This record gives sequence, structure tokens and C-alpha cells, in this order.
Amino acid sequence: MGCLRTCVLCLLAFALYAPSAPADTSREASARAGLEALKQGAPTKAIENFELASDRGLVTADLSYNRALAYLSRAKSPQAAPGDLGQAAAGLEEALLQNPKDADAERALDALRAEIARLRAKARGEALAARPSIGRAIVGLAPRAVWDCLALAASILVSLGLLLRGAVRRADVRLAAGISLGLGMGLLLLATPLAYAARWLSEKTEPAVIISPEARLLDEMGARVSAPEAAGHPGTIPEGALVYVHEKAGNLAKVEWGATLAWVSLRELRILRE
Amino acid sequence: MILQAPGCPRPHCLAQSRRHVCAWGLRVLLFLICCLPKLALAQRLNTELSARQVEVGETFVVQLTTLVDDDSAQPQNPSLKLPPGFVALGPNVSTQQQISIVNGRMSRNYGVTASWSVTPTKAGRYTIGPASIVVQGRRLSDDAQTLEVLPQGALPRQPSQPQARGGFPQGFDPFDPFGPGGPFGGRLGRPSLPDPSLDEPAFDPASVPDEWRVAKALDPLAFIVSKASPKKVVVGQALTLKVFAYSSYPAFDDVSVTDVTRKEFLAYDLTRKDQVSVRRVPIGDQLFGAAQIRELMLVPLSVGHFKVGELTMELALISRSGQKVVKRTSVPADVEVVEPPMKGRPVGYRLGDVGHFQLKVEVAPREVEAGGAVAITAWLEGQGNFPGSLSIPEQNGVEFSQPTINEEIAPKDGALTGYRKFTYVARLSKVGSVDLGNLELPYFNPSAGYETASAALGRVNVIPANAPRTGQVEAKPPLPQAPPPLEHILQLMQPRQAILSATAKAPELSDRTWFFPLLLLGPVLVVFGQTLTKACKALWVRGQARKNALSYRAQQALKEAQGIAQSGSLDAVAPLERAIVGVLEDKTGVKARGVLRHELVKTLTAGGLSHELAKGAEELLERCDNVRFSASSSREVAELVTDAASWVARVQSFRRKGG
Repeated sequence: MGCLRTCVLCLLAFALYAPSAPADTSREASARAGLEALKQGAPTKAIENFELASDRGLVTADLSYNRALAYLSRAKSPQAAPGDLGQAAAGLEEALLQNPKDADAERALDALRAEIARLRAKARGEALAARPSIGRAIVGLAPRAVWDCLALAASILVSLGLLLRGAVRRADVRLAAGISLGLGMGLLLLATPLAYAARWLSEKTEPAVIISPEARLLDEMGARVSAPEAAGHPGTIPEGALVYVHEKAGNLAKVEWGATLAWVSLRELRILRE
Repeated sequence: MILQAPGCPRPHCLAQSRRHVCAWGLRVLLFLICCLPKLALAQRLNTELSARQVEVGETFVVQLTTLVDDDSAQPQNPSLKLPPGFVALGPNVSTQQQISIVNGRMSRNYGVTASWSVTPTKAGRYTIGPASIVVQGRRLSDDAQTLEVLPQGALPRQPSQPQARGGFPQGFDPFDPFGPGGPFGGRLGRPSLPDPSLDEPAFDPASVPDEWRVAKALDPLAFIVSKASPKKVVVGQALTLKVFAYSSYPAFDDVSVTDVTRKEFLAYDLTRKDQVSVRRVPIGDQLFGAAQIRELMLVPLSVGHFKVGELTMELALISRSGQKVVKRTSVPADVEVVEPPMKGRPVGYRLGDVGHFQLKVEVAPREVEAGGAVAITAWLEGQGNFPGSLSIPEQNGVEFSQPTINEEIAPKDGALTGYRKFTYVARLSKVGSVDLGNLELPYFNPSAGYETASAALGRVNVIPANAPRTGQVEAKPPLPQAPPPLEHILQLMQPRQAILSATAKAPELSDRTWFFPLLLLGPVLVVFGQTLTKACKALWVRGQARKNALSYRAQQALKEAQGIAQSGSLDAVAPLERAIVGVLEDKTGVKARGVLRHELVKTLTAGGLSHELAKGAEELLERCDNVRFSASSSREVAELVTDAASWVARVQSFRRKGG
């Protein structure tokens, strides 16, 4: 009986494991092949392998970093394709998204953005930079965890203050409770909306990077936004710019770029994976 | 004296006569100058009617032919005056050229023929015309023609003969612009107006191809349908879109048409302008005329569900009783575009590379000096969506240039067919025999899955570059330069090995569903606890107060008395008396123990109690005394308690006047 159960369990385990094994193996093999190609100075092959591994579900910070390196290597070769710098920026952004403490990626991304801005200024006489919207700027003052912890601490302070005020009659304790209550309420009113906004932005918007030489701003029908509506900028988003996707409809994506909210073609974006 | 024979004109008469003749001569000259060219041109106008007698509803043709000289401007704006009750279609204008050589002298004439298709709606004798046309800025008219319109069925039926509609000779029907003898190529090949006098070949419904068939008529008059085949394709796979117009009228023509919607598709127009496909299609129990008005080959560029082939068209529906123009919008075709399967997808496959291809290469020369270059020419032949680039075999020491592309690709058999030629220049810097590797193109073949077109480039012998000749000044080494910006960034980055170790990112606190409720839960719990404590305390206080209340105490005393009375003890009297006194105090405020018994009724009545209840109280107290001071049976005690309980209940339900 025990032997039969063991056999059944083994079969079940095999049935569960077997379908996923080749996929895992192939994506790892693709990633390794990409790394080898990168070392051998074959950036296009490396890109193909890294992209395949990524398509098959492998998401790691170092894979994104290496992909960025492969795109950057190709960008300086005769095989350079339009959008390679944007793809490199997307890879570095993705690496930072997965590991925000990656100083190398951050440094490389800064240098790359500066280079893209320089090239754009050289080609079009303008280096376009966008300031984030006020809401995103305030929320971005601290990491999400900070707002969460502050909100939690505020809630504890308010609870403690209320408890002490109700339970203890001593004047000094009541004073302390009052201070705790006031401080806690203030902090709660500040940190809770920010924690909620940070969660909303994280849930409802997806970070993405422009991977075409420039993305034209469109309206929801796909027609190019005319200059007055684009309010002061030439109606394009530069390559490598970080945007946030709010909504997708067909082949268009509604993106937030700085304070601008407009539609762009999905083909001009690379949505970053966390 | 001058004699003048009778009848001889006098001198002044003669002069008058001369003036008269001159005036007439001038008039005739002016007339000739003004009218002769007109007469000359007018002689070149000719109006013809295809029939002099027609039935009501029968279409006939009016044709105006104008011949002008070589130097003349081309006639334009033909016009036909018609009596009321006639419907005209046209004019259709055709031109012809006539060259004649007489005695070695060449003369050239241009002819313009304007034709109207006219349908009478009323019987009678009518004057048709005059037809006119503008020549050299002047409108010239021909003679009007007479026509007799008879009621339907009045004309004898002509025997069947190969004659074109309207009485014109075979091959020349100005209202069938799509016919073999038509003077111009029309836009829409409308089905011919059926002539009941002709024996039409038997119609075989089975001969109608499936793509022409529709399940039901979307409109009784006319409708347009777009059909895509296949309906589900992968990105880059070509599909054919055909747009068909259907009409229940005997004939129809297009007046205007918009472009076909095909967003997110690359389109190749396959519509043959010279040959419009027309046929009859049975729909339900009715026979419709149908024409294929568009044929496009579409190549999808992105994934999604799309509606393609929407166009708006104005159709002229033609019948024997006239024509009617209707506007119709086509029913678009649904197309689903998906990605090729992920399973088995080769490395380097790019979305959109779909078809079936072969790759051939040529490399020359096979031996170069280090730093030299070889030319690589690759021909990609086949059918499908040709890619813009091939996968090149990159390696250290070999640098490929961007390819130069030449192609010869055209739609054929529902797919793009031909070749695309890629020419690369590969610079070789590593000395030795270098294997250049393979040029490859992974693509998706819808009928066979993923395939790879590959061609080996072979080996190239790279020999060392010539050393500088003796006496030749050695070139100075280049001055060190700052690395280009991208190089600088590349120096910051090194390939990372740990590509498979994913750092599991812990979810944020606020990602958990309980986080925000928890923020409020602490303070709310504290407030709730405090409120609960206060409420409990208040309840306790209230309970205590209730316990001290007279009526409560009276009820308790009564219960006590009832309990004692059940055991048959006479001690029940004391609590019973307490109950009665307590109830009285509660209801009247009178402390019954301090009132003389004979004054009790009066006092209680004054306190607001009814006389009957006051009397009952006196009696019960009396009986209590009796039980207490005389030997009474337990039965009497029990009765007393029962009566007292009844009285207490009545007193408690009693309401004082005004209270």
C-alpha cells in the first residue's frame, strides 16, 4: 500500500514538474548563450538570446543589466539600430527597478541619459527634459516603505494617546497622551494619503521607457497632438525617457511624462518588469 | 431742260436706290461673316436616336456626334434638353480622331460623341433635344428629334438577335463602359441591364464561388460586404481582403467611394482596374447583382482584433424606370491577429517575419589583408513578409557594415513574392583563416511552424598587412583621444555572471489588503473600548438605581411573599405588607405605615388613587393584620398573597389622573 502511494506521489510530482522543466531550462540556456555572445563581441546575438530568455519569463536584475550592455554595444557598432539607446536605458531602468541599490546601473543610466540628451541637442537643437508631476514628485520624496512605516507609527501613536487619555487621570500622563495624539493625528493625515498614493501609482501605472528615437504624442484616436495642445513642447518624448503607462487601448498607451498626459504608440515603449 | 422718260429713275431716286443696294449688300456680307462658320460647324453636329418608337420604361440612347478641326478647341459641356417625364443618365463622352490625306495633303478632325441613356415614363409624342455642345466658347445646337412613346406592350416583340442594348451595334454600348466595346474604363463593373428580349443563358447557382455568397441580404436595395481570408493570422502573415457590392436592381454603378479602412495593416492593392469581376448571386430566394469592388492584400503589423474593409460608397441603382442614388457603408470584416506561438520560437526570431524563404550567399574575395574587407551578397528569395535585416554572425575581429538592400517584390498568389538582396561589407582584422559563420533568418511558416533560412559564408583567409617599405617614413602613432561617449559608458559596465539569480522583492506593507484598515483599527479599537467601558459603567449605575426604586422593591417583596406562601409559612405577611406599602408609596407618594387605618382610604384617594384601589389596600392591610395576629391557615395566607398580587398588578397599571 505504502509502495503504491509512493508511486502515485512520484507520478504526480513528475506530472507537475515535467511541463515546467524544459521552459526553465531553455530560458536559462538562452540567458547563458546571451552572456557568452556578449563576451565574444556578438551583441546582436546576445540581445536575441536575452530577449528570448526574458520572453520566456526570466526576470533578474543582472539579466536586464546585461541586456542593456548588449544594446549599448550594438549602438556603437555599424549594426546599430534605431532605438538601441532607448533599449539600453530600459534595461538599466529595469535593473534598478529590481535592485534599487545597484549603483553601477544608476551611474551608467545617468551617463546614458546625458549622452541621449547630448545627441538630441546636437540633432535637434534641444535637450528635452521633463519634470515629474507634483503628485509623483511628492510621493517620490521617500520610498514607499517609508510612507508605510510612518503611517503605521502614526496609527500606533494615535492609539496610545487615546488609550492614555482615557485610562490615566494623572496630569503629566494626560499631557503626554495629548501630545502623542496630536502628533499621531498629524502624521497619520500626512503619511496615509501618501502611502495610498504611492500604492495607487504603483498598482495603476506601469513604468516604461521610450525605445524609439522619439515618440510622438497622440490623442486617443491616434492622431498627432497639435502643437497648442502639447502645451509648450514639440509634441514628442525623447528616446530613453522614463514614462508611466496609465492605460492601454489597442495599440496605444496613455502615458504620463512629466506633467504631460498623452497617448503614444505601444511600439515605441518598453514596459519594465518588476 | 432735261426730259425724262416716264419710268426712268430720277437722279435722286437713283442715288437712293444705290444706297439701298449697298445696305443690303452689307447686311448679306455681315450675315455671311457671322453665320457661315457657324453653319460650317453646325453641319458637323449630328444627333441620333437609337429608336424612334419606344415603350414606356424602355431605355433608348441619344447620341450627339461633333466633328471639329485640328486647330479647334475640343468640344465640351454637352447638354440635352428633354421634355418632362424623361429620366436621363449621362452624358458619357468619348473622343475619336480622323485623319484623311487628299492629294498629298493631310487633314485631321477630332470627334466627340456624347451619349445619354433616356427612359420615358409617359406615353405620347415628344420632341427630344436639341442636343448642344460648346465649341470654341460658343454653344452649338443640333436639330431636335421626335420620338413616339407607346404604352408598355404596344410594340411588337423583336426576335432574339445578338444586338447590344439600346439598339447600338454589338460591342458599342455607351452605357456599358465595362463592355468590350466601351469607350472608357469605368470604375465599377455593373451588371448589365437585363434585356427581356434576349435569351439569357441559364443561371447555375452552384457556379457562384463561396466568397461571393452571403447568408442574407443586409438591405433590400443594396449593401456592401467586406470579406477577409483567412480571418485569423499571425503578425506579418498576409491576408486577402475583398469588398463586394450587392444590389437587387438590374444594374448599378458607383458614384463615389471612400478608401478602405485598414489601420495597422500594410496594404497592397490587387484591384484590377481593367477587369472588374461581376456576377449574379442568389441571396435567399432573390437574385442579386454583385461586383467585387476592391481586392487588397493586407499584412498585419501588430497583434489585436481589427475591423478592416470599411468603406462608404454612393451607388446609382439603375432600372428601367430610372435611377436612384443610395449611400451605403460596408460591413467590415473581423480579423484576429495573434503572435506566432512561443513554443519552439528560435533565437533571433523577430515578430512579423512570416513566410517561406531560401537564402543564398556569395562572398568575395576569399583572401584579404588584415584590415581589409570582403563583400557579402545574400539573396533572400521566397514568399511572405520579407524582413528588413538578417541575423549576421558577429564575432571579434569581424565587423559587418549595415546592409545595402535591393529588392524585387510584388504581390502574387495572395502573398508577396520575389527576392530581397542584402549586400554587406565585412571588415576583417584578425589574421588567419576566419570562419565567417552563417547568415540566418528565423521565420514562421504558417503551414509548417518555425523554420530557419541559413547560408554558410565559409572561410576567408586574412593575411598580414604589408610592413612599411624601407626608407618609408613610419607613420606617427595617433594622438591619444578621449574615448567616445558610448565607449565611456561601456567602460562603466561589465557583463554580469549572476544572471539567473533573481532577487525576490518583498511586497510593500501597503500592498497587503489589511494595511489601510489596520491604520484605523488601532485608534478605533481604543475609542470603542473606552466607549464600551463607559456604557457598561452607565448600565451598572442604572441597574443600581433601578434596584433602589420603590416599585422594584415592592415587586421583590411580593415575589418573596409568594415564595414563602408556597411553603405554607405565615411569615409571608411581612414581605407582603412591604410590597403593598411600597406600591402605594410609589404610586401616591403616601407612606401608608404612618397613616391611621381609617384615614387611609381618604389619604390615598387624595393622593390620586382610585377609591376602589384605596379600599382594596385598606382591606389587604387589614387582612395582613388578621393573619399576623390570629391563627390562620396556610390556605388563607396563600389567598391573601394571590389577592395582593392581583391588587399590586392593578395598582401598577393604574394611572393617576393627570399623571
